[in-house]
Amino acid sequence: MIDVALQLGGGFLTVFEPVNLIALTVGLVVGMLVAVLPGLTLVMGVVLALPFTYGMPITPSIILLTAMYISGTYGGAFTSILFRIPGEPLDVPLLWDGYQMAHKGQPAKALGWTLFAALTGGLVSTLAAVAMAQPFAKFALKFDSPEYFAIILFGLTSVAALGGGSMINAFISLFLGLMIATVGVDGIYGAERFTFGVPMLADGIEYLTVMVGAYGLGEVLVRLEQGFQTPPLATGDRVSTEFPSLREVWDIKPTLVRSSVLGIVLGIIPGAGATIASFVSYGIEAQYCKRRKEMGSGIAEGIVAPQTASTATVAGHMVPLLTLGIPGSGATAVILGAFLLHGMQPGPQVFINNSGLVYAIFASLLVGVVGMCLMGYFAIKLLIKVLYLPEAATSAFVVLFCFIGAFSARNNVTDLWMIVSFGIVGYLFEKFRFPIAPMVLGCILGTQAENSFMTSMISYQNDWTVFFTRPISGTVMVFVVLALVFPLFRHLRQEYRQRQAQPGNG
Amino acid sequence: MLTQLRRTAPYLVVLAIAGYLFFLANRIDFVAPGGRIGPGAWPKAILLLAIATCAYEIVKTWFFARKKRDLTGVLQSIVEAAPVEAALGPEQDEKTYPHLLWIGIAITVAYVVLIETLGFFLCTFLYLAAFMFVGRYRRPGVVLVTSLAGSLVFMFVFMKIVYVSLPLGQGPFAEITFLLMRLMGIR
Repeated sequence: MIDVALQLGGGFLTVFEPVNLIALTVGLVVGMLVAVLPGLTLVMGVVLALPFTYGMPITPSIILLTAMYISGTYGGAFTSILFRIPGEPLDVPLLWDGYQMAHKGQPAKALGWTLFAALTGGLVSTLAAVAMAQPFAKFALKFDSPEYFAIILFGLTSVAALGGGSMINAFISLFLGLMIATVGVDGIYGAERFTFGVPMLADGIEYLTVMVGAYGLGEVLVRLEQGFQTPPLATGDRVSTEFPSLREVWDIKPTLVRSSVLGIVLGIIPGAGATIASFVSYGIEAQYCKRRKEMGSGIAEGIVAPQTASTATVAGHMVPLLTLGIPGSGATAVILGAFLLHGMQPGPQVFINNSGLVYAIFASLLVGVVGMCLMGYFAIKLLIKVLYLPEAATSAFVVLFCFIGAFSARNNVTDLWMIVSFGIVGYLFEKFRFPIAPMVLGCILGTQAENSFMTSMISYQNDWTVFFTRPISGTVMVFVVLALVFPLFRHLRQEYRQRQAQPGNG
Repeated sequence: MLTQLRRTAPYLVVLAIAGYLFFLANRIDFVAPGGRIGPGAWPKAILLLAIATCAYEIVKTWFFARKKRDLTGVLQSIVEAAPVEAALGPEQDEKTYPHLLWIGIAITVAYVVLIETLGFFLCTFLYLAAFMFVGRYRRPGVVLVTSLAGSLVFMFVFMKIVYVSLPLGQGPFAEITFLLMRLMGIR
């Protein structure tokens, strides 16, 4: 424990080095701006920032991206509460009580509760992640290729099985991502796959172009089809923050505990990101909190629950990302991409080879949470001025960032074609309600999944039962089966109930 | 029938592509010791799953459309139960502008086609101005100034500071880029 505290102290010293502090501040500001602007999503912002990190050392790069990620879970709260414009999908639950509280003449109080919730969720979850990460990594050191395959498979299936929307569409998106990862020369036999005689495809498809195209250009095309209709703002002058009293905080402590724990747990499980955590946490409070009948009328619990949970997921996501190399969300997939671009593979060895960096990331999360709250308190009036920027202009620059991101990676115009292609794929995904995150995760984790599968098959003479007979991989495979079977069971039960409820069925 | 065809179109497309890729996966050249599974095994497994998933959705839509609900992720019910509509108030304007989308895609494709000929600066300037105009922003002065300033700032930052090799253009267009590079002190 003392060792962890000392290493975390070392992490703080790293964070306070000028270059890292600048990266952290820039990340917080940009993350907040991205979250405030309705046309830009948090993941899109992190994706677009990635090319700027190519020339930077790994520590400020990761600090910049994680700072953007954490402040992105907070920035959108302001527009939800003040203008009824959710900057991010995760901010939608804040409309129900946050906007209502503001509407009843207490906008400063609503903003105060949001700030307090983000601060609590961020700090508690980061401390929990610090405590959990090393035991997690030590345990993961026992893993061999079957265990890795099982864990990656669990990550990929839970992304599809836990998320909202059609599970079938999520799986198709996932399969597409896994197939994109197979393009090029395979790592074991050196055989060319699906290259269609195009030399550039022999190197494979850069997942960066998939992410940038699908998240960046795809979203811009969707908004363009809608004619860039940002709702007009009511007013921008009534922005101030009023902290809750200690007594008020004490009264909602069960909500704080439930939401923090939920945020951390849903953060650790791949697939259930900040948006799901925000909705689920609100749903749980609506069922269990003392004032559940007043939920939706502008009470503190309805603000604190979603904000605490969504901010808490960030540190939760960092645990499997750092210790297993498995990202659980779109934003952490980009952060994994940044690790790989800098030649570092996160995983169980991370505490042996790069413990300094890991604790610097955790320290930057702690400093970042405090920083974003200070920013929210002092500078939000200035930050929300970006809402007055015309969406057509910001979108044009987003596309430009996408293209420059591709140029920065390989200096090749072919990658621009990839971005345009995946931009159109991203648009079609939005149009036909296919989620993009499973495709991106499949694309990033596909190679690892295939390598661990093939290595297991070669090592165990094509015996596929090895995934089920080894204790750890077998246990994880049970979770994989549950993740697949439970939604099906729930679906059949709903169908049955629906049939029973129909007139004439007794 | 037309509705069902429209609803299943994405799955039919994925099914056709997956079928074709499966055919290709059977023809991958490789050399491996006997008894080992080859490089086509993994993609074939994924493609089979994709084919099965699409087939399920197509059959469900065509034969059980009225009876079956969508199979959703386990947390979806909580999201569905949330009072989103009530909170958002009156329905937003859902008007769409497909022609803007097509023009937007066309100018984006044109950007990629022309960037090596016109060079980064000129092509970006034209693209930014065109995109803002297509995006229904109608203040020509602001559009021109923003596009010009944006192109110059991007060129300076990425060529001078981040050292990204952006396209210079060809012939007379390259001369414009070189002139700007000299003015900005870019070598």
